[in-house]
Amino acid sequence: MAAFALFYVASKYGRIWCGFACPQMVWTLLFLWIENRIEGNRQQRIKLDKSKLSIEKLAEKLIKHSIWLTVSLITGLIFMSYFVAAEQIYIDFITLNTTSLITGWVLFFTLCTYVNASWIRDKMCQHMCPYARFQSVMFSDATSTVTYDNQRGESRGPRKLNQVKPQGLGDCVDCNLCVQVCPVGIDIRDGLQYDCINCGLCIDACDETMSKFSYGKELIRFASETEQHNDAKAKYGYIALLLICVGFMASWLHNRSEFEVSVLKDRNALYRVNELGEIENSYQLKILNKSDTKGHFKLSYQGLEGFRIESEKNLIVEPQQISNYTVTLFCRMKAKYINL
Amino acid sequence: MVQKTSADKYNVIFQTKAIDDKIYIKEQKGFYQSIRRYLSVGLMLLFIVTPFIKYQGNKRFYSMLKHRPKSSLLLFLPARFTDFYLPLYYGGLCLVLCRQ
Ligand code: SF4
Ligand code: SF4
Repeated sequence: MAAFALFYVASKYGRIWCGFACPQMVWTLLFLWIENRIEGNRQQRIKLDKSKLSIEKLAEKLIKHSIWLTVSLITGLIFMSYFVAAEQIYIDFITLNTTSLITGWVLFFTLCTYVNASWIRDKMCQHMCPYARFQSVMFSDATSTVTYDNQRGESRGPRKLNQVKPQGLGDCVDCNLCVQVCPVGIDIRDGLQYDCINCGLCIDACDETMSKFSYGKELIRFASETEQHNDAKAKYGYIALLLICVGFMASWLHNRSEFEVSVLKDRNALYRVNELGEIENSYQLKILNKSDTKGHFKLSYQGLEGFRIESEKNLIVEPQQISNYTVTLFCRMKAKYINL
Repeated sequence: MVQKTSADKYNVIFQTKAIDDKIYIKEQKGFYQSIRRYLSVGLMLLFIVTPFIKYQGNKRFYSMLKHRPKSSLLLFLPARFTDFYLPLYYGGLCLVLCRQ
């Protein structure tokens, strides 16, 4: 379902998923916000990085990385709450009661989040993400992407505020803000580039500049080559597939069983004929209770004459737990007719 | 001196690190940034509460890891990205690491 939604959105608005909703972007945005609060704006950060090591610099870096690591740890815990009971994992982790397996995975995801959102950042989108690579096949002339209006903007050049536009110059005042805000570090004025994640930040930056100079907005804007949407077939195709997937998902959610059972022949014991002349076979019964309430199970059989089962009377499985039982099956028919 | 064009800049095979210098992003306010921020907050909240969501009295988005060894394979997915990242900095690692 997510894949078809993604394909549809990409065919219509390019890499808008990358720029607005991708977890990589969401976490990078949060990390950047923290960085800005601690180290200051862009100029202050550049200055800090270039400055010599001092107590102040060390303190700022230490605080920043500690907060980043804390956020990463919380992310790791949240991620693991999809795999172990959500209410329990937080309490267990704080009280140091998680198993080494869970602790290991939490720390692994902490590290992944920290490395991704603090160090890798845009390189993930540019060099590692498979989705970034294959979505170009979904682009068409009708796909809206962030575009610089070349005709209106060129020739670019600086000028003073409130000055009449110098002859021969376009609307671009060459303030370079569109480059400074770009999370992938590109210059949209160079034309459509595969790195662009359609985040729209350069639009915000340029609109701000245009307002200051009292020029019309949207020198940079979302635009498609044809500006008309003639991809109806693809559009309805994607929507239809999406609806089918939503239907499947809803039905899966509705019909998901509350337990799973598996029966395995006990490999340690062969069949045997007991003193009553019955053939006796042992099985391992596993019951997985997926619900949040205690499960009471009863073992029975139908349509088999001459059989009987021996097992615990009450099969009780705790919520979200698995229980193993040994079940013995007896067959009172003559041994020669039975092929076990 | 010949000026390097942006096309030259990307026409590299072994110098990927050179084009990946740290980017200092300027914080920007505006329409699209607001959408990004609000959406991010919404998505994060969704990420946190989803494992608690119950339907017909039971959790639906929950994979019982310790009872399903196969589910743990899902957890290895992020590790695959390490495969992509290392070559970016150190070129092919085939000679050193590949089982082949
Ligand atoms: S060019 Fe503009 S839309 Fe594209 S990634 Fe950079 S800031 Fe975002
Ligand atoms: S923000 Fe607008 S005006 Fe400033 S350099 Fe970019 S395109 Fe030109």
